[in-house]
Amino acid sequence: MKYLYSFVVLFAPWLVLSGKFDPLHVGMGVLCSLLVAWWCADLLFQDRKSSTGDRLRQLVAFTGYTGWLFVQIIRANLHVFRVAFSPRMNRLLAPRMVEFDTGLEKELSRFVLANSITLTPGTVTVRVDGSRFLVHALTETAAHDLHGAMERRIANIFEKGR
Amino acid sequence: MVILGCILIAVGLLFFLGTTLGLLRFPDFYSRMHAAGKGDTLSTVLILLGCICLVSTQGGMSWLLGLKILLIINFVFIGSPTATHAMMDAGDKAGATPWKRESE
Repeated sequence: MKYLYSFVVLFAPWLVLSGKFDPLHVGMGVLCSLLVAWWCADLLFQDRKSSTGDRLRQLVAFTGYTGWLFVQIIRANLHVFRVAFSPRMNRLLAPRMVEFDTGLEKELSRFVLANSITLTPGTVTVRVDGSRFLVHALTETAAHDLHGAMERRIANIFEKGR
Repeated sequence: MVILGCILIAVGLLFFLGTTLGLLRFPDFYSRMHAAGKGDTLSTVLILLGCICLVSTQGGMSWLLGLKILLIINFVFIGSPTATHAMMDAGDKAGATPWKRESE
């Protein structure tokens, strides 16, 4: 099964990037994708336990999460730009380091959480050490709505049924 | 579609202006990274979405070009926070002290 996934994951970008649909190019794509899928499927799918339904559900949930994240990014960007444009910037700024422990257990969900924190302006992940996150927050508000809702959503996607 | 594309690109440029302003005005290394590292992401994505809108008016195989631009957006979304994160970490390790208000 993992070979099939890897093949699809590899072949779809091939089609998009090559943009040629004659037998020669598609044939080369099939050949290359098959070879790489055969050799490297283990690297792409390390978690052997999840079922196909699980993976599909994760994919759908993750797409929804991306939409929500985009809205958050826009809102938070506006917040930071209000600070950047403000003539009294120094009074609005209150940079601080925040440390917290995450309840997320999988590497993947920690990675997604760290990158989501960085993407929403006002907070940047400085270091992830095990379950310990070191985050730099630009303003008081940014530090407040740091990780509650985000962490819950990620846990819903990746860590259900454990 | 052309109008929508132009609006998206204009908004993206506006966000880039904010990013630049933040980069110049913020007081220390960390807060500058905030401005540089992700105002960037949003504005790049907006401009690329605008490009997709503009490209889609050309007909023919342009949907393929749109898909390629979507791939770029995908990479920017993964790459930009990772790079920001790496630089912040390097700054912290090199001992850059966070800026504090004088009153504190």
